[in-house]
Amino acid sequence: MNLAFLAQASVDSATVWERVSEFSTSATTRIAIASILLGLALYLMLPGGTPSRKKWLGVGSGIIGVCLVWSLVPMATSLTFQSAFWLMASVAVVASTATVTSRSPVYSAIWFAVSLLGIAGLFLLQGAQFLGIATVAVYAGAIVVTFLFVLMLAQPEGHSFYDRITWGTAPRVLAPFLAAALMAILANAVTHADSERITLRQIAVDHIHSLDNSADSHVNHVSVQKFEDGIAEIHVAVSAEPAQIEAIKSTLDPLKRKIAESLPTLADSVIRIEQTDSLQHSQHVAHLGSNLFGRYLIVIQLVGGLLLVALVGAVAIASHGSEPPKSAAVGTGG
Amino acid sequence: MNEIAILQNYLLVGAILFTLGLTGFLIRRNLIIMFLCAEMMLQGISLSMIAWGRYHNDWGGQMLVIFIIAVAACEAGIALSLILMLCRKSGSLDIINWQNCREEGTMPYTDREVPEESFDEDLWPSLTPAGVEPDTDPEKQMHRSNV
Repeated sequence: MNLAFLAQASVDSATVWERVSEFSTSATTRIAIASILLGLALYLMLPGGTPSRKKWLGVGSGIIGVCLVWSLVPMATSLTFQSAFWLMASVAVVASTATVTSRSPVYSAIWFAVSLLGIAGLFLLQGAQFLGIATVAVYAGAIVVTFLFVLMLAQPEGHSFYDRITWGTAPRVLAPFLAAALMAILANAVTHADSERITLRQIAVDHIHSLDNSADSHVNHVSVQKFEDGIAEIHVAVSAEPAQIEAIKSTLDPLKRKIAESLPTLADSVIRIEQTDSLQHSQHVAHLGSNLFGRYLIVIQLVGGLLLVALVGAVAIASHGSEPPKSAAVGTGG
Repeated sequence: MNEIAILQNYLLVGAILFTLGLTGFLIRRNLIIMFLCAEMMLQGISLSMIAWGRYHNDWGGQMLVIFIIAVAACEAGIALSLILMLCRKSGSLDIINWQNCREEGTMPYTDREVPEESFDEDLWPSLTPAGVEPDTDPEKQMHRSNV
């Protein structure tokens, strides 16, 4: 009887263990645990009276939380890309955490510049060459100016007390955990992708890769849309002459049959061929410029106007602030 | 699968940067750090824009980021002149000096206790002395050829 009881208990514990492991490996649970860890990390690292030993606890839990979030995302097929991404992303994330948490604004400004370098690297990794350089150029200038401001204005006599405190206990506890909850919602949305659309797209991409080189090399991009009535639309973006497009069209005909075979729930599928530029074009900046001063011409004029208005506003604010208060009171009576 | 993996990785980094900037903006009291946190939120959004643009093979993402950079430059100009003015008037970068702008009927916030400055925060960046100490003999300095 004793033995039977033990066996029963072991079976129970096995099912419990199964359930626990199932629960702990599900995506939602992992995101929830990660968000709690990230909130704790931010809470421990933000200024406001925690001794520095606890800060290292915060760093540790932050690293675990970030790793937990990243365990949900698939890796890119190219290992070089993925490791470069991890390098840049960790530079960006670590430096921005340090920006938010360092006590001295001098260090904050330096860390922000470092995080911009990481972000510019991420831009370059996506093929946005112009933006990577522009970020470094524009922001490096802006950050140097900010840095000079910090040196000029802040605390010539030492650390100021308001860098060591926040808005009292309740906001200090609430804000990191609410931010972590927001992060969890975003991560949840990011990691739950529509699986049928992904398979559909994968079939189309595989088909195009199986074609002979001439057709494959013209295709820039494949995107899939699925409508509620069960019709899927597959957009194939190509950069080719009109004559070549006809040839590509004929090679894509078997794709419809393939899709109907592998996804019988779909009512119908439509294949559309569009002629577009590739973002990965060798003359990237030239194409960016022709887009910027072609399709987005009105917006760029508006932005130019906005810059002018901001310049006038900044000068007005700065010069008005530098007037001694007496003369303003005497001059206009107001 | 590859492209969606890249997109998800980028969106996660963007989300982390945005939430970090948001927390910093709400929690920190130094005007300059608040400004940096606002810029950080913009950077998070830019990363997501670039990733979506690459995923859809559309120039719109990169165009929006160019406009974000332009708007951020405007914001930086105005924010820095505002900080300069506010700092001149109140004498410090603490935003609590401007809580007179709060809603009518709200209690003013006062600091109950300020934590002590710990030793490791007391360290400031300093330059190591280099070179040779100049000759400072007063008689030589007063010599006719040097005056």
